[in-house]
Amino acid sequence: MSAKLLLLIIKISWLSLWRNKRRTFISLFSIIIGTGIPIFFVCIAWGFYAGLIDDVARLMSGHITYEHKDYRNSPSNDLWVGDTIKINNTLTNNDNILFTKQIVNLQGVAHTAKGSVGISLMGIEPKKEIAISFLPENIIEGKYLSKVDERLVVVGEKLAKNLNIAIGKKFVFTTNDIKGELTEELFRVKGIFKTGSKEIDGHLIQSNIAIARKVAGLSNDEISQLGIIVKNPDEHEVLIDELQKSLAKNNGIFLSWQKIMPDVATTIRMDRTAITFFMIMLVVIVLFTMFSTILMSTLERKREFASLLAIGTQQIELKVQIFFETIFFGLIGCPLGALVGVGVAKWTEGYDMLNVVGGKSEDMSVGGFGMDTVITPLFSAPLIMQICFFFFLAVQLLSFFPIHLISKISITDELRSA
Amino acid sequence: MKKILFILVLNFLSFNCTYAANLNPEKILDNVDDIYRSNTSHGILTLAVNTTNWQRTLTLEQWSKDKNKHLIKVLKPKKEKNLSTLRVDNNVWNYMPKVKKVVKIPSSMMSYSWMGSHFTNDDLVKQSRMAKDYDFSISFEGIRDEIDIVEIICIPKKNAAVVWGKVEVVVYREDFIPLKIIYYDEDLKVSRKLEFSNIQTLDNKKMPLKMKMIPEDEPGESTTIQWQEIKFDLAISDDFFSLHNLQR
Repeated sequence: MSAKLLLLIIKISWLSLWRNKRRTFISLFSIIIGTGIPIFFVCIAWGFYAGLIDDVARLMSGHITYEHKDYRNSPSNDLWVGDTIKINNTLTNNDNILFTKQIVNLQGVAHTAKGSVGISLMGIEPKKEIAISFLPENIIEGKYLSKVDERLVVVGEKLAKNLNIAIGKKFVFTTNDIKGELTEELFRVKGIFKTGSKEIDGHLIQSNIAIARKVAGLSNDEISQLGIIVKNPDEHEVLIDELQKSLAKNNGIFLSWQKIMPDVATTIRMDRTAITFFMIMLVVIVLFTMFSTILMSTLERKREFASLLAIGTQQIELKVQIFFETIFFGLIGCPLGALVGVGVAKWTEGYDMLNVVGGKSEDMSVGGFGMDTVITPLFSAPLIMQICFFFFLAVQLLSFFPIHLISKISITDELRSA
Repeated sequence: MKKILFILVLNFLSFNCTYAANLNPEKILDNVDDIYRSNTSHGILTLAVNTTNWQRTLTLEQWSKDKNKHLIKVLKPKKEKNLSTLRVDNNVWNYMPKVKKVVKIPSSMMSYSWMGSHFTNDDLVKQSRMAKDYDFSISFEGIRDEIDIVEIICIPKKNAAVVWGKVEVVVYREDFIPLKIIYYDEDLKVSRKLEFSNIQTLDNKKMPLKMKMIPEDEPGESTTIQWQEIKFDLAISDDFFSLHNLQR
């Protein structure tokens, strides 16, 4: 087949599309919807996951955490890492790292005259926490910590309720220091936060890292965890290997957030699998619709094709024509579908999902961490391109059967039936 | 006449002030803290726990040395015999004879009830001295409910690891033996009361043999400790307070 003939067939394909506009629009509509819906869902869901991972990483111990190698199995107070000033300084100069946060975690019991509750005291650097974490913004009463606050803490709303404490009130924190000895310290409440997570609001207390170190018996160079917030969370695995080789001490290990918070990672993985499965089902249904419209567009032109064949047109020329018609369908429908999916996702940005599904924000948690119910889509160009390409390819594959039907056309039968 | 009355009132006040000045609140508080303590002690006591759902009475044998070594073993009932608690400094271990296991009580379990009573593991290890952790003053002395008493108000020091907002210690003026201790929360509402009664002399030491803990937020519930016998200043070596002895 010459190039000139090919160009002619392409032209005929294009013109043929617009001979029956209704048929073309129905076919395009099914492709646009078929491409748009998965893109919309992916933008919303992946945006939700990215936001959740970032929030959890910033609130807890980063995308990458440096801690004692045994801390994961048994997060006890006597497993700490040292030489952290040097490590921290090296990390701060790394271009791939946005922030680092030093943390002293202490498990213990908070006592008031009304009773006792098991808590987790998190010693942090207030200035950094304000820059990194969303928790300081979630103070609903009182104020967040500052560097000069020694015995002041911020507590979760539910914990404050359970301990019957309010701003300015005191409680005694009992824990084991790094030598295993029982130790007690008095704290007063400076602020009360509400994250929406039952676990965090019911058990977490944040204090200045200096007082947490004092209670634990740690020096200025020792901490429970060093949290690392990376610039590109998708590439943090590569960085872990590099840091482990260059910076880790004998008892220290760099771990990804998936290993630090396996509950969150598993939940996201399960959720992604469920969404993918749902989308596969949706895609199958949409592909059937697309298949039927493409098939119908061929079948309803059987007599036309028979006439063309009768006057000497080659079967291959008709097949190429249908093939290019589906290419045009794909080239127009898939980008338009992507635009629709992205557009609708963008339109829903900032909308609170609670308005749709109902319920309370505190009931929305993933792996124990509060979920931001406000829609923040993630527009990942490679992902959108992948979905578009998949649908484009699917449309081309769907055209194979109608193309095959061309060779089955009986010229005499079709012309006689007229 | 007015002048005489004025002088009489002045004399009365000065007499009381002099009398109050003779009272040393620190000494009284130390006496209350050490009422069951001596260099060493060994005794038998019963622990009666009364809750809204169940009652339970245990007979216990206890040994102590200084302020930081205690060993307590259950004698009765039979099914709980040899259940033991050892405290050395800030550490507490429990021995459970049924499973033959020694368990060190971690900080997370310090708030748990000790032997099902209204005392917690934390109450056992508390080494706080009222005279050290509180600012105190005599708030009343004289006859109240036909008993000659001294009342001391204790306000926790700013950074003391104390959950209470105020503690009232009431003692007999005659011998500073405690009559009751009332614990208030930070809002100065009564949180719990510790009442002492049945004062007798055992082994030449005068002491209340009965101590009753009444939690204010659990009406009708209480824990009563009744000393059956106690001996002081016996020869008990430090080695006695060991994990080995805990399991014997």
